[in-house]
Amino acid sequence: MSHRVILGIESSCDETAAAIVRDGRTVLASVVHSQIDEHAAWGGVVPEIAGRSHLEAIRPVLSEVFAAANLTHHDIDAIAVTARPGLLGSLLVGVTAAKSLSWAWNKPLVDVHHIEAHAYAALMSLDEWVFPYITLIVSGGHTSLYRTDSPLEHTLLGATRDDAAGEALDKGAAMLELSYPGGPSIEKAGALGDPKAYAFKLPMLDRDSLEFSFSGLKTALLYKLKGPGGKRTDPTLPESQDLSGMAASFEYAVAETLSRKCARACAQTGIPRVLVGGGVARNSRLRARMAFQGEKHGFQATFAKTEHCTDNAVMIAGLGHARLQAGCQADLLLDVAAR
Amino acid sequence: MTGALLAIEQSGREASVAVRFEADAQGRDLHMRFFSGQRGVTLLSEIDDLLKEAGVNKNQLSAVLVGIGPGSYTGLRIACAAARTLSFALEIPCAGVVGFQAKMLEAPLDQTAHFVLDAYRKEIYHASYRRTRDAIETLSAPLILPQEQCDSAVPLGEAFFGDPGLFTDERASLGAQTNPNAAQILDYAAFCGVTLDAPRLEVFENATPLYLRAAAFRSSPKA
Repeated sequence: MSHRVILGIESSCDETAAAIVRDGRTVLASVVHSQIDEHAAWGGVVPEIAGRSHLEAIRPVLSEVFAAANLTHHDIDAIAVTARPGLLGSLLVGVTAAKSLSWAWNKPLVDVHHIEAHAYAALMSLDEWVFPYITLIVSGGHTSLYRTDSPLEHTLLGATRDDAAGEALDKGAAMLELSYPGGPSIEKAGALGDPKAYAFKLPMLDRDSLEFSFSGLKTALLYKLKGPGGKRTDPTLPESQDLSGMAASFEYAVAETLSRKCARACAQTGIPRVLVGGGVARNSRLRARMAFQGEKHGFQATFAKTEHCTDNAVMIAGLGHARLQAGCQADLLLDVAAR
Repeated sequence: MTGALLAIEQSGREASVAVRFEADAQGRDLHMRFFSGQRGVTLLSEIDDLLKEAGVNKNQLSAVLVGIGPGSYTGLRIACAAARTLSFALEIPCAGVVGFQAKMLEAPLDQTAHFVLDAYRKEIYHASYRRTRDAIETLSAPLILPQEQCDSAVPLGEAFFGDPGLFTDERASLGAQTNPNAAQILDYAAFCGVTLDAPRLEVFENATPLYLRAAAFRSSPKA
């Protein structure tokens, strides 16, 4: 049976989302309910707040996506849902909702891996696919490089050993006393700053690996602001009070590290095509540095559309379509997993 | 085709689902299944089996009732997510039932009965009710108390459901179990006058877990 119109559901972290997508490509409707305001006061995602918010949002989000698409459940061929990785309490709300709809409407159910879906979001930006690709997934929870041979085949080449790039940006923003989420705040604060105003050593570029490490960069920012061995409560050094320069330099260090690692992955594998997805893929400096490195080293980088970088259900429905075409299906015993 | 009521109860370790329908030739009008409440992984599969065993079609369902605790937040949230989504998908109403109120149907008539349930972190859930012939009157709605206040919350001589070990003195309980099963939720619904065909659920709560603790436990948000 051909499954053409897919309802996607995403609830792995702090966004409750639903989308209806035809043939894995055409977005008929997409609704995202963000919880950022509910978590902002805490400086990060609070799992219990997230779980409660998903429960409140799931039914209105479902109603809204059908209304926006001007469709009913009779028009849906299957339901796709993020089952991993993510916050368990958050994933459980989306998966329970998806199983309930699948049972009530007698529709097939398919589970989707959230990280693979971010890669699919970047593939959706391309009219034609020429596999293989080097895929960089970069967000608040993940920083990983893969070799992608199809929408369903991803081989890990390297990942972060500690903080994800987005997590480093969040923590860096907190040190700079900028608001949560840190990525957009640092981008805004550093928009007019000199990215060479403060020199940061780019992490893990001195060895031949495709792994990342951002926790040292975070410590370097702290010491630049407060002096060697300084604490967050210490006063900021007089020479470190150029906020826009500091934000731009820190953001540059993150973006340049990611771009150069992609260049290295292309050189090592001989693959001249890069896909970039995940929340940090929205970052303008990363897009600019990736374009620069691509021109210098002969690779073409394709980013997910900005509205498909942060968590959304379009990519879930899209990848769900690909999985159904490949014969994958889940049943009512589908479970969730944090990793 | 007459309607049927579905109930979901997942506030404790042992979860259950039940369906009430028009009595068949053998006088049977209720079917229930028990299962492990852990993470609710099997919930939809249990509902599917329940209806098949009972011979009830999902399109016969006229409402979904869900136990909203007090109890495990994860179990309650999964149960409420299922109830809300089934309500949306089948275009039927859903409502939440406070577990202690349903359990009160086991209490003696015209007497006060308390509920004490371990809420962990040296705290207890407490509530008290009076069962009359036609109502369960709430005397003290569910709330969290320090466990050291357990003795004073339940005056000596008054009946209670819960673990006697929560008190510092020796007391006899009406029963250690404080959460109802799904059939007891349906019994409570019938006691409140809910019918199979056109259920009116206004007397119940929203299908939202009884969150008696704040979602974030730090004393204050980051500046």
